[in-house]
Amino acid sequence: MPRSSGQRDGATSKRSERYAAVKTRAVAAALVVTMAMACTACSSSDEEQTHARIALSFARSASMWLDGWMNDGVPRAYVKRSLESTGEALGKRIDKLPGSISSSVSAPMKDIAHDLDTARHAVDAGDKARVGLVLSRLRKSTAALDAWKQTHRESGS
Amino acid sequence: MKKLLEISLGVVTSIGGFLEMGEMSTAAQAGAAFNVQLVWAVVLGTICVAFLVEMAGRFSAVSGHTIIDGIRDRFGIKVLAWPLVTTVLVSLLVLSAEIGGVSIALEFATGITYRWWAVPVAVASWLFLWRGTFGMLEKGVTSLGLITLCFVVAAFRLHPDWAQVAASAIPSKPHTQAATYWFMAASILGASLSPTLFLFYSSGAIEDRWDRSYIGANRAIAALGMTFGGVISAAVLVVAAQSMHAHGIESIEDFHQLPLLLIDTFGMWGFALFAASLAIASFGAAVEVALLQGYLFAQSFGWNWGQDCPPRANPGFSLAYTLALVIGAIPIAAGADPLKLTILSMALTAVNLPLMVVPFIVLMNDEHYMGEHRNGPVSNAAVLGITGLAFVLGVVTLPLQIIGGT
Repeated sequence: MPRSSGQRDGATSKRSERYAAVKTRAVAAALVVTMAMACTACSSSDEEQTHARIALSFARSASMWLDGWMNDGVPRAYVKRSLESTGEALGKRIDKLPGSISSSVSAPMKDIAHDLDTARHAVDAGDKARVGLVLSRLRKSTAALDAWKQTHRESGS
Repeated sequence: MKKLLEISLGVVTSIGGFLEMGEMSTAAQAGAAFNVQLVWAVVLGTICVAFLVEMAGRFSAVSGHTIIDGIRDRFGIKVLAWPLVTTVLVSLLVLSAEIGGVSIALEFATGITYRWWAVPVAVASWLFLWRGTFGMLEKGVTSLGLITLCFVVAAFRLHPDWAQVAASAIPSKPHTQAATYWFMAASILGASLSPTLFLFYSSGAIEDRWDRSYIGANRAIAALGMTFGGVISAAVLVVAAQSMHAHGIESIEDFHQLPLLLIDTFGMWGFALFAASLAIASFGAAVEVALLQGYLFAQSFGWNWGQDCPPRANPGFSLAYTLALVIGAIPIAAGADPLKLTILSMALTAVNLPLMVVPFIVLMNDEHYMGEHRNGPVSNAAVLGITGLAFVLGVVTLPLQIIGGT
């Protein structure tokens, strides 16, 4: 049964007030939860794990880009730009590393950043022999970080 | 026969238009970080969006209103103001992300950095809206989006453990990185349940002059189109699990890593397929999200609207999508990271969902608008439950991700 316009205006106004009250309560609850969660965010061990995971992902991505380029499977411009971008991102992370980060994590991270930079220059110069050397160095750095990650996982720290 | 053709076309365009920068990035990150463990989020998102899209089409076909128009009519402009403002803001972020998606695809194709492509992409989208018709967008661009089916082919070629994939359709707790896991779940749900999709669908139903005779066709399009779309999204996640997680790439922090999804399977062709998929899917989404800004403002303030009318007949509507494209291009042209922007905008979409979904559910249960075609308890429970979950996950994990910075 359609309602008259007067009835609908009154009902609309009450519904608006109720809706606004529920919304205010929901926003307040969300703020409390957010603040509580923010207080417990990110331990130093989590931070090391995050840095290691990102550096490993960049190194392995670089290996795939370089393998692809060596086999003429991906364009040079894309590989060069990818190495440049991930190298810069890793460099920024290294610059912001706190002193509490273990050298077992920071040293391979620095090696990977250096390898990304060398690889970019080698790709730019079209030097496949040099890229082959960088690839083997990248494998060593990732093995070192992997070993740290494994120990860290097993010790459960 | 005509209806069957319309259903087939509707299903095809729903599949082609399903995947965009948000779906692709969130599913890829989830697969790389957590293997196939987050398939359940794609499944839940797909179920919910199928309900929402079906409801959006049914609402417009039965009541003759769009959702925005209906909320304004039922609750008044004051209640509409909140979801309107937040949806416009979140949609602008999504629009930036989609412009970013096309821009990075063009960077892959040309080697010219993505920042320089933001303005040309915005201009191309604007020209498409200014000169094109709704049919060109609905049937043209989204049909080209079928190229994203290459992810399904890649998923099969990578031979995943399908039993494990099926088992992951049931939600489970993470073994590590709990905050990131739940944040990714919220982002996947946000990408699937974007209000853009069902608000746009509802406006499209009015543009296509749907009436009650379309209720059956609408149900078929929503169920089949969204299910197959969800399959593509799940395929991206499976491909990321097989080609990245399995190779020890557990984090996608840089958008240059994304083409590795298909390079592993198809080599040079994979690179080209990825760039083409990203460009077409994101361009379609950018045009749709910009057009939605026109719909949102015109329907809220009672202006003329309609993509098939010339711009001079709808000045407010045309101005709204023009300004949206200008604003949307700015962050990308200024150098904002398209990948980070996408993930953030998807999580914010999840947080914003209830503001639009709750009044919509009330409308769907109102006899005055829906008569005998009101919602049943199953659709109410499914939509409220899943959007509630997306909201809680988004609210709890978003601050942690911002503070953690990962």
